Amino acid sequence: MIHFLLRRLAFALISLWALITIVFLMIAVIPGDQAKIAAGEGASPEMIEQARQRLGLDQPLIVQYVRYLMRLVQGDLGTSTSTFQPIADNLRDAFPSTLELVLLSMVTVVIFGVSIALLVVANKGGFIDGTVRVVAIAAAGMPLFWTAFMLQLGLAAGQAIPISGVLSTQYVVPKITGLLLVDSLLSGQPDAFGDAFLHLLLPVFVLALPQTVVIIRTLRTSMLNEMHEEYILMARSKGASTGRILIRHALPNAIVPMVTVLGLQVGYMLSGAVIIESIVARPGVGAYLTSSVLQKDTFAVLGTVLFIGAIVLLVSLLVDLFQLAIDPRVRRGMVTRSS
Amino acid sequence: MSTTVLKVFRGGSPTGGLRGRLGPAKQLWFDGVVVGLVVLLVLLAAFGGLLAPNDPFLVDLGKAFIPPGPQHLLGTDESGRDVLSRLMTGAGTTLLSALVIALSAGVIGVIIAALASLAGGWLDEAVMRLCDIVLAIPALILALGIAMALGPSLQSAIIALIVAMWPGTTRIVRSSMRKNMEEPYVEAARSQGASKWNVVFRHVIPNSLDVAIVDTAFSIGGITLILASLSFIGVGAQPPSPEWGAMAADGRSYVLTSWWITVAPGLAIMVAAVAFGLLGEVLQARFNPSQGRR
Amino acid sequence: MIMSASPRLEGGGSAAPDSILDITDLSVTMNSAGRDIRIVDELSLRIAPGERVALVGESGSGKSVTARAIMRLDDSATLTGSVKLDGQELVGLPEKRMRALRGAQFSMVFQDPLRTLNPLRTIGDQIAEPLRIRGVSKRDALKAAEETLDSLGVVDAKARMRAYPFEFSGGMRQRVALAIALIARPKVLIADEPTTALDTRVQERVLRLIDDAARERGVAVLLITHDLGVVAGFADRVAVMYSGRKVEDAPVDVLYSSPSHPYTEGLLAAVPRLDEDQAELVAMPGASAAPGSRPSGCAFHPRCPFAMEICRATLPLLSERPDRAGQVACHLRTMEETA
Repeated sequence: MIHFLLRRLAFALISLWALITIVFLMIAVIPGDQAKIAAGEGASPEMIEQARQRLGLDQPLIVQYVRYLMRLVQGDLGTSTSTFQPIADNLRDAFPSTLELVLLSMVTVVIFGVSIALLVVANKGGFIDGTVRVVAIAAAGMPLFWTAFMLQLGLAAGQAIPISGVLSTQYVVPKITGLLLVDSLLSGQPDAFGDAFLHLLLPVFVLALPQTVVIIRTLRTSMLNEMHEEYILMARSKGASTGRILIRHALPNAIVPMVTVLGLQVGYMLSGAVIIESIVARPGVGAYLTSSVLQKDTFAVLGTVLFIGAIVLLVSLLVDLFQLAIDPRVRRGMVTRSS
Repeated sequence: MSTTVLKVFRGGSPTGGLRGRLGPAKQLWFDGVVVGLVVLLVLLAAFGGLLAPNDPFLVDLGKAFIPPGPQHLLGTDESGRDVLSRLMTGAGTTLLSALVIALSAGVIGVIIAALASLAGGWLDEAVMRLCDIVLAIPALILALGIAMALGPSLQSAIIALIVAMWPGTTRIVRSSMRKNMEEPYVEAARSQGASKWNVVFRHVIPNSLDVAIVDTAFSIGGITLILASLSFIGVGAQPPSPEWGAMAADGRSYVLTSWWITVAPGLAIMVAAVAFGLLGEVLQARFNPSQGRR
Repeated sequence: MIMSASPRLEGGGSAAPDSILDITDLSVTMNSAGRDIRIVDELSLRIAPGERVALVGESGSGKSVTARAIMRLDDSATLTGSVKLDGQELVGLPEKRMRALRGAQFSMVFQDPLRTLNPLRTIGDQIAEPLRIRGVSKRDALKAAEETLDSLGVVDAKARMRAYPFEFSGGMRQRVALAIALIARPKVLIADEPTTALDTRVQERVLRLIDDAARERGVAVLLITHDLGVVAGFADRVAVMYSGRKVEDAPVDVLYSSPSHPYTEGLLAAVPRLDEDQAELVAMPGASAAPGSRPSGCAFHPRCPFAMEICRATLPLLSERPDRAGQVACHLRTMEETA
């Protein structure tokens, strides 16, 4: 097991390094004069020259690379040319909002994905199974921004569910963790909690929909495969009911490969957040990325790309470790069948 | 398909194997409808621009925000341009670009997979690891970075997506090749003195091609979605291009009032994505019936 | 002390019935590729309390299907005829009531213990499950599981309870399977090829184990096997199946010393014996017919060295053996009887 752990960690570190290098290459490839970009509009030749030296752009590529790495180690992602603040700071401020959205979406995906999958398996070949399949096809093809717009159109008249923003203007919630749902409770404002929750409904639905479809399909296939296994027959011979078999036998065995899929989903959730945060006016990493694009703030864009990439790598590492924890075969040194 | 479904089901059907549940008669219908739809889309892409009723670029502010009606079937946008015409012209941009990306990524992927299997040893491993690493980063994010670095434009987005997509093909083709290399006929060929190159080119690659073709077909839908998303964010096709994602971005401020400006292109994207996904299923059933029974 | 967790059976229990398992004209039909195929054809078998009966046949004879049909484990099979467990009719019994009987009134041990045990749960959990299903508390159930394991000769049962199936050898796993089958004190134990997946040395031990354990508890055993070698030291009575029908039924010593049906003779001739000098092993020519394409008349006639015209035309019915020691379905023997 230690062996497996070390290999996995090594892979994570190498991937991170590769990501950093790729981003660096992207920076190097930017057409035009980076010094000019960094110095900003209407800068004088001297200021541009200063910027060039400051950023070390007059040095050979290798030196630039090393300097880049060293700055990264110190947590320095560069400075935004639109906000004029360190990019790392911008991201730190923006992250909690995205974290809230993604976490809530993942929870939704798991709850609905698993329960609907159970229903579909128990109902195999029946009406629910068929309906879910058809809905799945449509849901898989919907562009996220389109789904978001359609929901906004639909809900605008009703006024019950807010279609943008994070909190209604009458509430003021102090920033403790940055997660509105948590902070509103911590500061004793249950009304604000409810309000923040309502504001999350639309974006969570948009993000969760395609992922739930994926989970339903994966879990369905996985569970149906398990149901053919012999230990299910054994469980039946003990007198176990279908429900018990599904939940206590098939599901745990089917979930093990599903956890990997869940890990992948974080990446797609973040991609989705990038697309829709600006649509629903949530001040998260996605909105920051989108506005940086509009402002032609290339450094901020690339810094955010690096940030998101790193998070995805971290999550996938955690997922693998989690799998290690729940599968006793891996724990005790056996090679799992799904390596 | 949403970027998720594209990746998770690489090598399998993003649209859920609907075709598999139909009886043989209905399957023929299914194939027919899907292929028909795809042909329509392709024709639209090729000739849409010529057939458009109005000039897709003509700005006439006096005619802005007209709702869908007899004169303008899908209404006009904020600059008075006919949405339907823009949609038809944009079909070429969107779909052709998606096809170019899919084919390029496919070809590059196959070539690299072939080279890797020829090289063997640590180089082979290194290439596969590289693929894993690139695939670990969400395609949209990676493509976004590259396109931004190259300077936002349709060409940048195309290049960016090709870079993001080829590792997927390489992975799949390489494992298919690996399996094929173990086949008895390969051993037979080698025992007759064929060199490794010979074997790979004449035997292994052609037999892995069907996997590559099906995979490429499946990927078109997802690529369409990501490409449109890139344009929507602003790193792809730039205004006044009628690329569907860019059209949706144009109209985003007017969603609540002039919904047709964004809804129309969004719907078009969805139809294209689903159609190509189903096409993949049809191709898989015809080329590769042993795989992908879900 | 665990109270018996089995529900009351109708129609049984007042006077000790002379058979604990009474199968009369059981036919099992399954649908394969659109056609209905009769896998088991009018099988009748009686097992007395505590008796050991072996059901012997080649693969494809329908013996495993019979076993599963008795427990109604396969929903896709259609049953006609009668199967009475301690007087309670099982054919047509609602699934809910059937479930209550499984594991408690009768239970099953399967062929491959690795695949019939859930890889993700401890063996203690799995042994305790038949009791847990019936509402026994976790503590009591686990205690009973430990006692059962112990009584089956497992050393250090307490520690073993926490282990997972993959950590055990094949023989140990069958002990676990046996514990599962015996813990709720069934009246009948069905063992479906319990030793086929094991080494020959281990086979003997496992059979011994089943024998002792069943004898201690007064459990009747239906042993399903294709191996006449294991039957000799174990069974009281042997029923031979061919192509879905029972062709001979006799006490074990009678069967081995004077087999009546030509098929039985063939089977015996093919078994290597340690106590006799055999010039050569005689394998039976031909192969058993697939259930869907049975020959007309007596299914064995294409391979039978004594086949007559009537054998091709008419199905032989079971009748008493000439020496009155059992039953046989063969035209030749019937003729000898009347001659």
